[in-house]
Amino acid sequence: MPRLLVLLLLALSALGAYAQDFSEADNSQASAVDAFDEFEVDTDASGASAAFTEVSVPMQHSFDGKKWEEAATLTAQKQREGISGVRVSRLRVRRNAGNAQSSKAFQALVDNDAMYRVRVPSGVLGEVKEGASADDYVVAFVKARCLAHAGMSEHVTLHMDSVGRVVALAYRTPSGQCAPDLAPLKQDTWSFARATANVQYARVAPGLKGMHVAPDRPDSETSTTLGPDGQPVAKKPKTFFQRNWMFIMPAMFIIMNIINPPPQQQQGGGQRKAAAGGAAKKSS
Amino acid sequence: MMVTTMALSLLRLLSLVPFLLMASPVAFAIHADQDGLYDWHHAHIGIPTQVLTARAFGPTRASSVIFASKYSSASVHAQTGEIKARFVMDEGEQTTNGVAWVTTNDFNKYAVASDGARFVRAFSVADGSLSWEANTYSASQIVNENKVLDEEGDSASTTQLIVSTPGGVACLVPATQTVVALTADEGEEMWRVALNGAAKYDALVAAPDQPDELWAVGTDANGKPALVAVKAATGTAGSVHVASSAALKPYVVSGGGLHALSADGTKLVSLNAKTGSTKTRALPSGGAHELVKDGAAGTSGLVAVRQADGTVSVLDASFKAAELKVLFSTANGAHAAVSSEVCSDGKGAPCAVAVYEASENSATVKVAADGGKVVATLQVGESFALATAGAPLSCHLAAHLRKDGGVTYRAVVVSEGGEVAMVHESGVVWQRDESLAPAKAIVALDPPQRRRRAAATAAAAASVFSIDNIMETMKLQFLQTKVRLHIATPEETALAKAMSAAASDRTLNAVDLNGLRKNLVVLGAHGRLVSLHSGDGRKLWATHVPIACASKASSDASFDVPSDLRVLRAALSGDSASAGGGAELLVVGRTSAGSYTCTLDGHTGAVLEAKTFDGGVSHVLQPTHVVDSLHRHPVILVVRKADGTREARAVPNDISPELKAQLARGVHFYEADAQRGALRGYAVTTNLQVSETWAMNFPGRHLLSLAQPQAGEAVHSHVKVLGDRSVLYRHINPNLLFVASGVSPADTRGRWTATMDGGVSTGTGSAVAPADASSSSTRLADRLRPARGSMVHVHLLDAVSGRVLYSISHDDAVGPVRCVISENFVVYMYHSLRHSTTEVSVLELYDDSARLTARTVSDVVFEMVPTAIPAWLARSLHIETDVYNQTMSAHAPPPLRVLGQSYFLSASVRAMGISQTLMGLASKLVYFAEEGSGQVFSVDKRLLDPRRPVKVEATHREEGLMQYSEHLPMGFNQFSLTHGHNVALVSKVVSFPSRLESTCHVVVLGLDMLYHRMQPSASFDTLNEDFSHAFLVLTITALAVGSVVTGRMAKRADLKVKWR
Repeated sequence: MPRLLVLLLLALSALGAYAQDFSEADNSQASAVDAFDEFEVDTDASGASAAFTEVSVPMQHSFDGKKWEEAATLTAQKQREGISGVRVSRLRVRRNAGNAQSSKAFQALVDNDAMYRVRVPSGVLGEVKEGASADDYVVAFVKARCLAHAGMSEHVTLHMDSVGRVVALAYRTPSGQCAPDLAPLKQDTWSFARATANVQYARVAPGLKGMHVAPDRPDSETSTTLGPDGQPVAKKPKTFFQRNWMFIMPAMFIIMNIINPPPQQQQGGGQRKAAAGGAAKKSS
Repeated sequence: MMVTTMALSLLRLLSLVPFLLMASPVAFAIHADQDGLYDWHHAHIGIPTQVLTARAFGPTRASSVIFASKYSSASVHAQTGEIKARFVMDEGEQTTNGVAWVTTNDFNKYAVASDGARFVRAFSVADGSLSWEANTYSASQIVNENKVLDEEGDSASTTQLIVSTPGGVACLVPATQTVVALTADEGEEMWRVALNGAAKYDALVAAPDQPDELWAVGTDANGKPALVAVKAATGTAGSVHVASSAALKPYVVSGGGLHALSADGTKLVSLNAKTGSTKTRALPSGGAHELVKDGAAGTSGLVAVRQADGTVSVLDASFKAAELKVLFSTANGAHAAVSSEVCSDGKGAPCAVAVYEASENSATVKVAADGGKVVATLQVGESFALATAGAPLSCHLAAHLRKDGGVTYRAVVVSEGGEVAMVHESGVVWQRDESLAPAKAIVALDPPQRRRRAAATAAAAASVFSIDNIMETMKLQFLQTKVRLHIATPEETALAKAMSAAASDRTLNAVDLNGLRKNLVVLGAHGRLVSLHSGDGRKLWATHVPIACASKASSDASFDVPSDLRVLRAALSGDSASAGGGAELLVVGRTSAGSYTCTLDGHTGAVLEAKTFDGGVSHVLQPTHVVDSLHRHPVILVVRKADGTREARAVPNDISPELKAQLARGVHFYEADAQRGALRGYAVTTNLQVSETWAMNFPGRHLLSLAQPQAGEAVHSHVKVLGDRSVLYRHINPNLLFVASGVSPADTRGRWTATMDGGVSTGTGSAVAPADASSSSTRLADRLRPARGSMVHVHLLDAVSGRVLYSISHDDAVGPVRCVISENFVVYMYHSLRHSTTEVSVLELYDDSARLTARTVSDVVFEMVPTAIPAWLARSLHIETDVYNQTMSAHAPPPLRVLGQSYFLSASVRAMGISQTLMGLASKLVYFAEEGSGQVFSVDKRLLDPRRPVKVEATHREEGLMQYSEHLPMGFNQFSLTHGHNVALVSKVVSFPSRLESTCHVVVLGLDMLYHRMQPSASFDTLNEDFSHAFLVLTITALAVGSVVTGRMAKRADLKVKWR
């Protein structure tokens, strides 16, 4: 019976681990165990009942870093949290259908070992900004060769601040690996296979407790004792022994050891003496 | 017998106590060798914008000269040039708007106006003590708050706003357009007068020919000069006089009115202060001119003009003369500055004007008097030559009546580079170097080889073995022994100190084996490059880069102050040095048409080559691993062209194409727009093209701080063994980039903008708009309120891929943020609003790969075995021996484990630095430069260990971890680098390694400069320089004699016992 119970518990815990949201299991940081961890804001504590709002934001890509075209749509659920906080979850990437032209351009990138860039508008997620310039986007890149070797699987991470503004974009292959010695692949059509995405928030550092009144600095150098007349008392000059005891003591120790060597083991000494006397007698 | 044996053994035990005491580590003990034995401090004022000498003829001579610069005001001893007292202004009000004697009769008090004459402070000349301070307007007196904010934006101009009056001082306050008079004794307001609003006044001068009148000078709405006279005694303002035609600035007040040049620079427009009439006269020489500010201004009505070729002429512009007459002219094309006119107070001596002229080789001050006749020529000397000190900036004349009735002239001259001197007819009285106030960049070079000075060293070598020298050495050793035994008199102690300083070879300008002697080449903010010896801080050479490099370049464009300084080739040793491989420096800057690069000899300052090209240099990148055949480290310059595109250039240009490709391989850089909160990453391709790779935006926030590890930093080990025998692997990333964003009071000149993070409206649900920071409707009071709810966001990025490695935010925190990065840790500080104090946080990055964490200590040790295998064996067995240098791809960063901790710091910090040693083995020290006191403290990194436990256990103790406490002790039990020297306005704390692991060089830069040789982990590989060899010999001899004597005594005693 206990064995069964243990098995049941094991199975439950495994299920729990499996059910974890991918957004929390980014392999670059989820395992980060730090001192701030335990103080992290509990995301479920407030606003759990608030309504979710569906937002979508276009993701653009570029093969040369100059011309940008729409390549995918990022969708997410936005939720208010606290007074000013916004939490975004369930980020998904929906790729637009590729065409022959983009396949050709991608093959050129692979051949030249060049960069494949993507960008999304920075600022509040889902809010369309009129007349956005190139400065209003956050840009990320991956080597096209690596993407090709990862079977066109991609992973998008949006770094957001607490009020729901996109700060940075990370774009990589799911494993993140990209060996430099892989040979470039050749393929007629390149289409994106599987896309995963997550949202990352900055951790909030725990505040200090606030016993912030610093302990008094004892100014040892300047401390002077005042005499009865209120004038500082002059320190008494040190005697010769006070100044040089560290030289005198070892010297005394050595001298004492030489004058009066530590008493030897009485018995052993006697035996040795006797033996020596015996030997002398024998030799004579 | 028994008792004596016991007493003896007790004594023996007692005698062991000192040894035990010596062996046990005493917490927080200060080692003498960590204290400052080898440091020097140069106090600076900054390039003087105003100089106050006792200008009147007469018996009273001021014992001091008052200097006022952008950063400070100081009284300088008139005979020696030493600073008597100095007042350094706060960061927010670094503008001096004039300096004046508080009373005109005696020169014991002076007043300084700063921050648009908002503050007026009077100081005692003798000791610099603050006599009084007056605030000329308060918040309630501000007429229009927005106007005040605008006014402050351009208050950086250093026009004269304060003048002495018979009863004290009067100053013009541009923000409120009033003139305020303050009493001499207490600085109380005597009168206040609002000026007529028809013109905007921005300067106040004493009327040259009316001792009781002040003139406020300004410009009306049509750009015409305007002048209004105010009675000094009562403050009644006269009528406003406006010139009939528009004129160019600067305006010069001389004689009976105001003078300015017409818009085309060919005519002099003179406005009569009495009648209000305007006189327009053509200048004698054709072409456009420039009016010399304050030049020749005085009672006679002289003005000085500069022609396009640089020639300066002094003209008689008095209202009586119908045409302008040239009284004095400098040589064609010579750079010159002209002093104001100095006149006698009715004793019959002529009025005089000093003209400071600089040429290629020397400089002179010519005193012209009595209609342009040169009455005295003062020699300034070679150190004021154009290429060394720069063009003349200003000249200030003082004249004194001698007892025999003659006149002596003294002048204070200031060059553009920052050289200041007091010259007398007999020569230079004293000289001050203000070129490094503040310093922009610093590099350290090894001094030249001894061989260069073969003759000198031969002579020195001969003298080493002379009898005198040996006697001297013996005497020094004897004195040092006496000092060590505490039996020396104070005179002998002082003598020993002086002798050891003289005998020391640390001031020798030759390379040493241990790298303890360095040449510190510092680039000043005014374009002068100065080389200082680390031993005693003396100046080895100085070059004014804009002039020296322009003379070598083929282009006519004028050269700007350099923006960057790099070591192109470090001083080489041995044969390569003799084959012309001396140290070479590279400076980069802008010209009027593009940019320039200039190479200089690192040991002489001579310009080797200067080149100009189109476009402005935005970045200088120096990959440390690339070396060309001439042992130079080539540099990549990122140039921004006129059309906004970027391209890369390799310098020097003559390197091979292969090397160029190698140089550009994998080079990345980033650009930050701190105000917009944008960060952009770029990559340089092998054909030197630049392409954007990543971008990050922090909308609504400023970038408060950016930091990267020092290039080429030595890291001793990538493994950290913990107390429980487990191992942590340091994540060492040379491309780590620390970015802090948020708001800072420093960005808004002491005023807070609206809340950035907390004040976001969320009323509409989906449309979440950030607060408009620059909303004009917000009241001043709101803007002054600290932004509660502000956060400081910290991101750690990989600068190559732009990937965020870690991010954390601090609630209720604002800037300024300071940061240092070293090895795998980041230490940064910010201001906490919740606790109204400074907080310091530390983050340590560890590699958390499963592959690594599964290993044990024995695995790590086993992995290190290959390093011991001979290279030939390793090659044949295909074993990777370089286990310390395994690289990691920026595109695939490993999972990280980040440890962090925060502390309170009981000081506000201006700058931070970190110690750098040769191998990175000695313990790391973090330097904090304190704001107010001007002290720099070093804090052991162990105090900033994020693993400091709340409860200390045995494993922690084994590791040497201290118990966590919220307070980081600073100032107490920490070593202060500065030892009581006040290092003003610290901007950088830089550290260089020496060739000894124990020792590093630390330079504190700011308005002042401080050098310190430091031993972070005590001197484990050196003897102290003042180590007494004689004392060692004496001790050993005494012990040897003692053992022989006592040995005999013991033998005799033994014999006695046996006979008993």
